[in-house]
Amino acid sequence: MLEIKNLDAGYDKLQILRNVSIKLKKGDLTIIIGPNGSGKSTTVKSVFGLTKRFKGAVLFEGKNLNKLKTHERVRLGIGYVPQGRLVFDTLTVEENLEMGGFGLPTEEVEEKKQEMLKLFPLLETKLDQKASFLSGGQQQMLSIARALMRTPKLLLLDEPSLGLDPKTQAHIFQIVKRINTEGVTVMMVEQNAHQALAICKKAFVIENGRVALSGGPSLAKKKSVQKLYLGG
Amino acid sequence: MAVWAQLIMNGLIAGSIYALMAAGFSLMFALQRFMNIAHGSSYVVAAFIAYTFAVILKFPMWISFLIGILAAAVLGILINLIIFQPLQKQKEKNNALLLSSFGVFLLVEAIILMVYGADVKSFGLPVKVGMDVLGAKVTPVQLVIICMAPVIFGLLALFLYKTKTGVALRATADNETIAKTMGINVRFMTYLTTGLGSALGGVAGILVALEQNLEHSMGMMAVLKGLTAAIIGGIGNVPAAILGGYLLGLAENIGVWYVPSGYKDAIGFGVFILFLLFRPQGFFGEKRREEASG
Repeated sequence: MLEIKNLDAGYDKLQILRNVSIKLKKGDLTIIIGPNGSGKSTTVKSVFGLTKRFKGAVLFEGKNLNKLKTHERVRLGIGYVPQGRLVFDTLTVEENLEMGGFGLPTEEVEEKKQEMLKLFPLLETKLDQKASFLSGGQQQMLSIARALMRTPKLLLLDEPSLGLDPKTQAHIFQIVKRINTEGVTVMMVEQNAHQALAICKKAFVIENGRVALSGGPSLAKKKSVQKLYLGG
Repeated sequence: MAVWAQLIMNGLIAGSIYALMAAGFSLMFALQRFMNIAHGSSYVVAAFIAYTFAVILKFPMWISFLIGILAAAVLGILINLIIFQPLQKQKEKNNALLLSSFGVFLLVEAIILMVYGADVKSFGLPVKVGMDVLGAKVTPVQLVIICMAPVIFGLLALFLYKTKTGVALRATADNETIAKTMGINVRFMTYLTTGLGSALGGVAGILVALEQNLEHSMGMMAVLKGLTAAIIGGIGNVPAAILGGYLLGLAENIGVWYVPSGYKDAIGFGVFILFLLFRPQGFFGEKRREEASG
């Protein structure tokens, strides 16, 4: 479904990713772990065209995304949950959800909105509130719900558990797993390697902008991974 | 009482014009992130284009006004497309953009001077005696200004808060990067904002030209007052900028009851300096959250 092929990418003149290659099959739940500043978020952003590409390609369902603008990539069926619970602060919760379905017919947006409120019932009572007034966990739920409004084929999440309490983190991981079970392919960048490895089907370790290791959930048994990311 | 009614009415007339300019400034700032002084060009160009069609080419007034407003919108979009977007692409600092916008404004003013000359022009509307409105004397054109501005702001609010495109525009102003990831065409939103903002400036220019007269240099004071109003209200926040416009108009016109009328502009700019010193985010403005990077 998604293929990142020998990708060199970064910001302006600064190259972060070096020859990164990652393949995702339909239905995969893939996690990307690695130290701070290793290029995990840059990998996800590159899929979305939010970085500068120096070399290589990103293919989605066989289509080369290199020349497509971000808003055009979204329309192919890729959803994105940015790092830092970035919601539209000045918009209401309902408007945030509606923006997730921007460009879709009104009836479809309404239908998806109801679906999201069933998945995230906490948001239902907050629809008229400004998103900036939500708690961290609620903002993360809104951010995920917003990305799901388009029924993406592929959902990219950038550190969805960052800054959340353990209970909310566990809830977010449950939701991610459920989304994947319902047929959405997921690629998730995570610092919380322990929990992420427990739910993933495939994992990549990125170090210094390169893929250092890859494998399945059994990656958690590797000594180097345990030492660096699992505190063992 | 009659004096106060007159002062308030005068404040509302000036405030309506300031609010139109400020709303345009604020709309554009929300997406462009710099003070676009070239907004003043739309004010001048709309007035002169409307004058050309109405007075020289003898088109019906309302058609001339629509052409003038359209010309202002197109000019705003073209300036953004040809000058500001390439500069922003080169990651030019806001100071460079501000200076270039000032340069564009002066250039357009010079072109107007070359084409139309320096003499004062007028739409030549018959002079009407002021009528009594709530104890104040108001001319028909002034009444149009007072009534038209809230109608325009109402339509603007409907667009921004009740339409998909309007909400998308606010979303883009809130966070451009995330807006892109929602499938919003940010570049189109920038054109829409500059077009809309410039059209508002165009309406202000035409209304002032109708009420007073036209000259090539009419834009500078409009820029200063519009900018002052936008900053007093809270730049980037359209409703706040509109309220800032009315506050400024009322402050200036009520102020001249206490000080000689020659100090009217000084009152406005005095308030402006006070805001810059003690509340730079404006009366209703909030500090922005930085976009995430990395």
